[in-house]
Amino acid sequence: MAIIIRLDRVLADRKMRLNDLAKKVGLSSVNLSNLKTGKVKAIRFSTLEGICNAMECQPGDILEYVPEDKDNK
Amino acid sequence: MFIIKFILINIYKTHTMNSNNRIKEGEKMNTTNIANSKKLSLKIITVLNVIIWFNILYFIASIVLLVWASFLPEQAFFAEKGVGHWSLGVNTKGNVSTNGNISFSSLVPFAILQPSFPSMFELEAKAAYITYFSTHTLTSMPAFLYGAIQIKKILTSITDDDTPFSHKNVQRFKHLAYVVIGYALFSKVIISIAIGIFVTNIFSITLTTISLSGIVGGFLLLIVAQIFQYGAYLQNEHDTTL
Repeated sequence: MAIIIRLDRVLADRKMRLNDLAKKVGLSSVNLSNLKTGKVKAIRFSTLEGICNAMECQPGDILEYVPEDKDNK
Repeated sequence: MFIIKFILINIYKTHTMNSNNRIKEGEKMNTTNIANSKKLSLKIITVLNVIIWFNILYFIASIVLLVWASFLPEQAFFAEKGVGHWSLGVNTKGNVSTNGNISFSSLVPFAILQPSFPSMFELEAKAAYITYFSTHTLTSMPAFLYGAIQIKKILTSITDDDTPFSHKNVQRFKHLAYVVIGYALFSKVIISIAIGIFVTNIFSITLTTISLSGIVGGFLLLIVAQIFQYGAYLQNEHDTTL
């Protein structure tokens, strides 16, 4: 996927643990770790809103677009 | 004329109102709706279990009857020509003339057993009855049981699993459709071939031996299987969305 989730970086910046974030957002920590490891295909705006609200950041801080190398495809 | 118009308009109005309500209910599909549908499927499973066990018992009873009938003398069997079918049967005491006995009989349509059969037919009533009854039991019972078990598994997936939209259910619907189409195409053909070999030595397969409604039902089930495949895809999309 060309979209990379930088959740671990933001978590490290905020010195926050994944379980605390899960509690704040109201998601299960299993689902959140799936998101962190990139096993999730899509994310709802409401979930994104919850994460941004809990970590006081912008969606751009969590999501990153890296163009895929066409030769490697 | 006015009355008919009034009735038609009313029917149309109530129909559109009902469908609108249904759409609204569909939007409000919540956990209580799901719980209700699970309860309903549990009830249907109970009824299906009764039907399946009744069929297994009927299957065993038919085989016992067949074994018992094969030891009876030729005189115990009778064949009567009706308007559109033969009535083939067997009498419990081994004698047709005595009244008050229990007799087992089955109706065989002329499409399977020809009415223009020679008068020697009465001598072969035993062969005709045993052939018809055994092939009929052996073709219809396993097909019915297999179909009923597939439906039971689909309903169990509604009650036990998180969702009925899975690839397993797609396969089950496909198998169900193949059984229905196969039964509609071949069951009566098999019976008429068996009767042709063992009884009449006349081979006749007409279009009436193929059940068109069965084929239509089978194709509808195939469409349902396709819809479930799409449902399984949507379910996967939903499950992988956070």
